[in-house]
Amino acid sequence: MAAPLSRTPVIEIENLVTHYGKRQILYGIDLTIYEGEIMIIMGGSGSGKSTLLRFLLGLGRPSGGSIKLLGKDITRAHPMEMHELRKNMGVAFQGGALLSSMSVGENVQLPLREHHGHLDEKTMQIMARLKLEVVNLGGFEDLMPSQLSGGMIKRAAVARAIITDPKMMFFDEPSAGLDPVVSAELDELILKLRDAMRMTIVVVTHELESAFKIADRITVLDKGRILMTGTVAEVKSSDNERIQSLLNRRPSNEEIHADEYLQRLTM
Amino acid sequence: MAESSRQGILLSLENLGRRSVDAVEEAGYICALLGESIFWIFAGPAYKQPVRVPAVFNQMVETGIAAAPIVFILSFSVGVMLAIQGIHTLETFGAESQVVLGIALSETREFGALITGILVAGRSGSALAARIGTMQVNQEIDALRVMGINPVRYLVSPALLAMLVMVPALTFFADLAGLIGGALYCALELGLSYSAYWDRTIEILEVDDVMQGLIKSTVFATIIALIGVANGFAVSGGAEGVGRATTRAVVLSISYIVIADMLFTYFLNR
Repeated sequence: MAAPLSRTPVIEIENLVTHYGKRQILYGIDLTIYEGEIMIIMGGSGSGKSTLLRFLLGLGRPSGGSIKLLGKDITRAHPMEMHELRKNMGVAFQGGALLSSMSVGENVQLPLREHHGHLDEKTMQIMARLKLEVVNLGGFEDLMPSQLSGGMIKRAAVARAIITDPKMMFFDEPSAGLDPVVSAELDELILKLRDAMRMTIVVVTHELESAFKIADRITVLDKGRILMTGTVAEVKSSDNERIQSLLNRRPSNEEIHADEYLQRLTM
Repeated sequence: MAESSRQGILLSLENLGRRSVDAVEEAGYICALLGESIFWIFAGPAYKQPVRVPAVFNQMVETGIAAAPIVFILSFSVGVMLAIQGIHTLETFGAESQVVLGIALSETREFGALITGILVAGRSGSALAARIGTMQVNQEIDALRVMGINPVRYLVSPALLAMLVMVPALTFFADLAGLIGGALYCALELGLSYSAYWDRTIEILEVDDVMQGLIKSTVFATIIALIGVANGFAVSGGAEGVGRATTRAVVLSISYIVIADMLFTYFLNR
């Protein structure tokens, strides 16, 4: 994988801590992600990776610590500052999260209408078509999300996410539920976004093949703690037992009680 | 035995306390939703985030125009029923001709707003809860937030505005439909001409009578919109959760509408 293109930090997480009720979910997460880098966040169920992603997206407030996106601490940012910052954030959710009441083209144009309302209709249509072509969905503008396959929905969600040319892009389980060919196409798309648009990309996944293919660096989470952050080679050669269990898909012998499991899932 | 009954009482009290706290929390949340919706309606343009007029218009069509035929049928039927019951009751005193008074006041003050409120709660309130609940389950609400689109501004404010315009409009339409139903039955049963019926109705009714129904209807509109969206936003647990939220939204809306109607009637007629 290509080395990080720059050492300019785009995402800085410092001592991030959060609780759900009395239970601690994240234990002092420290992580810096640089401009133009693809960072994979990996971990098993209940490791805290989805919680971490929600905080990165500003969809929740942690109990402590800070998250700086482009230098702005989003845990303390005013809603209007967050509004400005969100113009530089794109997200592709696990299920795509396209608005089902709108056509694909309308979905892709939606951020433009909200943030660049001064643009005329024709310009917005052209921009949406261009972004749909980037994700190989040119000509699909008039279809409804219900008419698309799972892979197409995810690609349309990427087109919507990149319509404002954001500096940061977040993917939540991009390969989940996709066949290997479509999954590989999405991996190529993620690499293309990094190389062509110099985006900083965070991918939360547990798909090893995909992660190894696209990662500049990988962060492995386990029970709310970072086990390690490193390149693919460093992670593969780690002698940490938990990491090796994850990489070699060895079943964990750890016993877990139902209430603890439910608490982990809730986050 | 005494210990187990003591435990049972304690458990019941604990449940009652928990439900009370939940109810207060929900009431607070609904008030916050109302405040935020109003904020975006008035302050949205100043923050370059206006409430979209096409979204309001779409909601108005869904809530109002599409509901007009069923509102007409139900209100017309209520008008006929009021006439039947009125004539039957007033026959005892030989005062059947006074039935016009009963129909006019009952329809404009009570039934127009109540029937419309219940119907819109069942039709549009449930649709609102289901739509927002499904969006919640599919992470569409999260997607809106991440795109910098405030979900209250985007989803709640248009629904609230549309309800506040269309429920009173439908109520006025329901008043007319009820009066037409009453006129038709009176013509058939008492041989009262339509012109005489309308002359008498206009003579009896004051602006305040119609306004009473319309004011109630704005309160009903607020109840339907806010309970619908609050239940939609609270959805968890997939399709089953959406179904539960939809049912709860309808039951709560209709209950609050009837209770609010009773309170209005008490205070406005003293």
